[in-house]
Amino acid sequence: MLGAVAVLAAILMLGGCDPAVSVLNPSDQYRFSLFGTLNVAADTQVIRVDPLGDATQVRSQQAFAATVLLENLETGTQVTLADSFEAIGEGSARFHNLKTAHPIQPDTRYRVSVRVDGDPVTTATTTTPARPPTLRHEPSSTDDEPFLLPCLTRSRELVESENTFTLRASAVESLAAVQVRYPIEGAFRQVDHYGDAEYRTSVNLYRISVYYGADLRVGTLAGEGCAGRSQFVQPRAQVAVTAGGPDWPDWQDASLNDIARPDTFTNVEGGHGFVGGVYSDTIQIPIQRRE
Amino acid sequence: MLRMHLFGAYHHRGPFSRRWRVWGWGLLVVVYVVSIGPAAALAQPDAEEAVLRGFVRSEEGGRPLQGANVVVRRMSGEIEAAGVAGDRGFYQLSRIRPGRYRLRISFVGYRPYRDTLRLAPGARRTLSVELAAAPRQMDEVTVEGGEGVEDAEVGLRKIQPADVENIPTPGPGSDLASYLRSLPEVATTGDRGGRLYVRGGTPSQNLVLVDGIPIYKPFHIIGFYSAFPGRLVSSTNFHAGGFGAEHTGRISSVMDVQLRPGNTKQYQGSVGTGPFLASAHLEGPLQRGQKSFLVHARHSLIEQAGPTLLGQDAPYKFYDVTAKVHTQGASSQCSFAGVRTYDRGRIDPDNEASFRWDNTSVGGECLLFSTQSAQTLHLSFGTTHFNNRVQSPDGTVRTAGTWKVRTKFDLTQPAPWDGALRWGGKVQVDDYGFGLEEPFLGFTSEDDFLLSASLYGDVEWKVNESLMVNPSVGAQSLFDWGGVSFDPRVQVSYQPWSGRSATLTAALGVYQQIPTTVTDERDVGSTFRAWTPSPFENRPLRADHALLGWEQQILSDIRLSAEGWYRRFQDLPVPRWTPLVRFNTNLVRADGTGYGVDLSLQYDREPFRVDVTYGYGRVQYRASRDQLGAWVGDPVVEYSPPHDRRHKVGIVTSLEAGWGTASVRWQYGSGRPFTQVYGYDTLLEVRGLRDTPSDAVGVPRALFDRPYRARLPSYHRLDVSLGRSFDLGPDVDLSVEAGAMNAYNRSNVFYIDLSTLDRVDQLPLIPYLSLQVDIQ
Repeated sequence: MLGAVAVLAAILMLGGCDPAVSVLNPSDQYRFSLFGTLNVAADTQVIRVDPLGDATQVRSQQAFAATVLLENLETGTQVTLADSFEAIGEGSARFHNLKTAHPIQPDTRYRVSVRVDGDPVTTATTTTPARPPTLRHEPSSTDDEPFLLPCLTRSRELVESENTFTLRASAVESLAAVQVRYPIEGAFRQVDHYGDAEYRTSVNLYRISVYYGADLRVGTLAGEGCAGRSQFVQPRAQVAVTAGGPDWPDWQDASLNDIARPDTFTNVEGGHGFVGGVYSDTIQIPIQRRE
Repeated sequence: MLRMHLFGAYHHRGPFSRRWRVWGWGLLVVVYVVSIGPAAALAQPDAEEAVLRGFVRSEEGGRPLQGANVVVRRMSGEIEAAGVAGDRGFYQLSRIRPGRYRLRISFVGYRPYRDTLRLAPGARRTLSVELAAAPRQMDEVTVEGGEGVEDAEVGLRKIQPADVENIPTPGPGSDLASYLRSLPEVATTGDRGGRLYVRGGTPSQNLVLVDGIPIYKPFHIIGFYSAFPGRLVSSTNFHAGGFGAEHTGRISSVMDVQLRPGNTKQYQGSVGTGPFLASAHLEGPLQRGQKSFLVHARHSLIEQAGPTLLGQDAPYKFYDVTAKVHTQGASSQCSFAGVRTYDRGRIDPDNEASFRWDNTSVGGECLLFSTQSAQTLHLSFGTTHFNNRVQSPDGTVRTAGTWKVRTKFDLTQPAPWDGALRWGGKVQVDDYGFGLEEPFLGFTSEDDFLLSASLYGDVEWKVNESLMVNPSVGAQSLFDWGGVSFDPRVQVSYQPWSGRSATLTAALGVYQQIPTTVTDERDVGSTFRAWTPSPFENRPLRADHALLGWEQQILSDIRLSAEGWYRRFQDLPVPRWTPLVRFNTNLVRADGTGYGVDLSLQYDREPFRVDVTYGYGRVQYRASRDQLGAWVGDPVVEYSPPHDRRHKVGIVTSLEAGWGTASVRWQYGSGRPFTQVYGYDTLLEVRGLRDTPSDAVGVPRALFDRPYRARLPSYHRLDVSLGRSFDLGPDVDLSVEAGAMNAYNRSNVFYIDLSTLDRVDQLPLIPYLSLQVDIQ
């Protein structure tokens, strides 16, 4: 009887223990994630460096026991990026965005390395494009579609073909981005049109179709019709086209799930993410009067 | 949007499947021809032989006594025929030679019925009896305890109300869910959410029938409770695999619950309350001795009582309402039943994600036979609806539901040999719908309307007094898929020694299932599921079962059983891995295997009963690493899914003495698999320069290690209860039960939210006191 009581007491004493669970198991193989670009046309380069092995999720811890270097592999020049533990977006999430104003050269191989105690633990290597894209919009002499306002509707539905302007980008090895900026009074609007670039093998250029009707309709207060010509601070849109370097991924049709996989579309060793070399140029697309 | 499936035939699994298809068609044709075709007359038993059948019920209220022994002896004492009453209390003995016999019908706890019969040549005698309750006699235990070879079935557990009442449950009253969780063949992921895993299968692979009507998710958000309160259940046949082709369409288990009918002789009712719920019921005759009604309702109170009792929020609400009308005649028994359940709550009280689900099932069933024929016909028909909804903390709402209309018939007749032939079929219409505020299998809303049918044939062949062979085959077709799948199965039982002290049972079979659920199995805390036809076009889910069991009566009051099981799974839909922190609805195909052994030792000698169980099980899934979306591991990833609980131990003791009853239950489960995380970051979409470090926070990612390589801590819990009844008057009883769940307040881990690293524990120590007043 005493034995049974002792066993029961032991169960009661030991059973109430709080079993610990170790969910986070940091990896020696993957230490940091790196995201960003080295843009030949930009004044400042910004790389997000996120330590992986801590429990923070949508932010980073302030402590950052690492040095981030940018190295020109052609010349051997090294610069140390400055850490800005800055708040991003509307929330209070702060991240380590590493910055430098060091000029980036075209057609040059660079390496970003994160060093801990002097040893590089995470690196990303990329090559910048040799030249920016050559952009043309010549509706009067080519088959380029002009930028016409106001937007044309039939049965209150926008007609895409009547509300789309086109331009061409040549001398591009890889297309990295197409961003259209509408200088509208009160709220400048920037829209991504990367998915609307179509490569034409015969003429070795990208034809970019911008369905501005959809962009500007969303921008109006009532959501109907389109922003009028008078609402433009400047009577034109600005299109920034960015060329990617030779190692720019072919990920235009990939799903977000595929891109989110740490082992895909990455050039980072010892971590995850992607750092690419790019070269941007812009073109102004004037608004023309609709006949 | 209405979408019709147009898929090709799914005869693709190679020579094995083709062989079985030929075999299956053959058996179906044989059963059909022998039952109703031109050979039917030839196949009938000898015209001189008599048939004896009827219902065995309790005298007090007319409850069907499933398991009652029916023995017909010659006047010399030799057994001419014997059998056991099945569910609904129906028995049928055939192939009885004309003559004069002594009949004995008995059931544990009741006075036996004895009579002398004279059966004329070709007689079709109906004899329904009512047994009066009596103190249990020790000498009856041995006689009733052993089943004939024809009643033994591997994988089958015949659950009686007394089994359910032994499990401590915060009352008033007991519940079938608490009992099921104590079984070695059943695994759970926690004490909330209402999910049961049977021998490696997942909840959506279980078929639950209540009076023949399917019900999708009858388990309440608090795991102690279901739509089946103990006092409402007449009997439950729980098939943990190896079941015959009568049940097609699910690949893991079948739980066939028979609700008890209302009292056909007098009115009675009860009201009760405890910290978790309040209940009330009323029953009585609609036509004395022939028709009755029963209404039972329960509503949770834990949301109000929880903060005081548990010291924490208890955001759980549920209720269930059951109604049944029963009618019995000389050659028929029919019932109409309806069940409604509702659940709402937050699995993690600290997380704003709120779940809600409800079931509505309505239908009826009839058992019919005529005095002109030896055949019995069972008909069932009904409709069931299930709906569930989750609202995430970010306001995203996901809803999914399914609706089914089903009609089924089963025809049974004596075979020319010692045995029976059964065949039947069912036609059902299913509607699957979901609405999501995010992409899901490529759609954000969907409505599928599908018609399917199935047919089965079953041959019972009692080779001799010690050997029973029971082959069966089922065929099912989803008309939109344009093909037919065959499920051949066979069950064997063998009693090597006289006295029925030992029984060897075995089963082998193919099981296929067309519908499945989409749920994020990585997220144990989520109970949301969307029913849909298998996403792999014309390939239903499949499991091949093999079971081998041994049951041994060691002494008059000690019984040991051991059952080994093996399952091979094919075409299971599992969630594709993604590091993105959000509900994952992309499915990929996985295969798997599961095997294990369940041991059970029972000591039953009044006033004590002790049940000791041990279950070992191992489940492994296999999928291509690329398809699975894993970024670590081998090209083919093998992993244990989160319900792979390897070891399970249960001890239940109960004492029934003059002063009352006492029950103690201790359970142990080894840790379940989970996936560790080696880090977190936010994904910036550099593609198209859509996200830049200076402007975008990014998409949160949880960077998973190899899938399910780590294990949560083991789980154990002690539950105790004491009960006593007080006689408050000639027709009024008061039942008081006091107890505690998780008596030593073990902090058992339920799950870890990998997105937030929040740890969610199972319920803490819960003391309770429940009262119930019965009036009749």
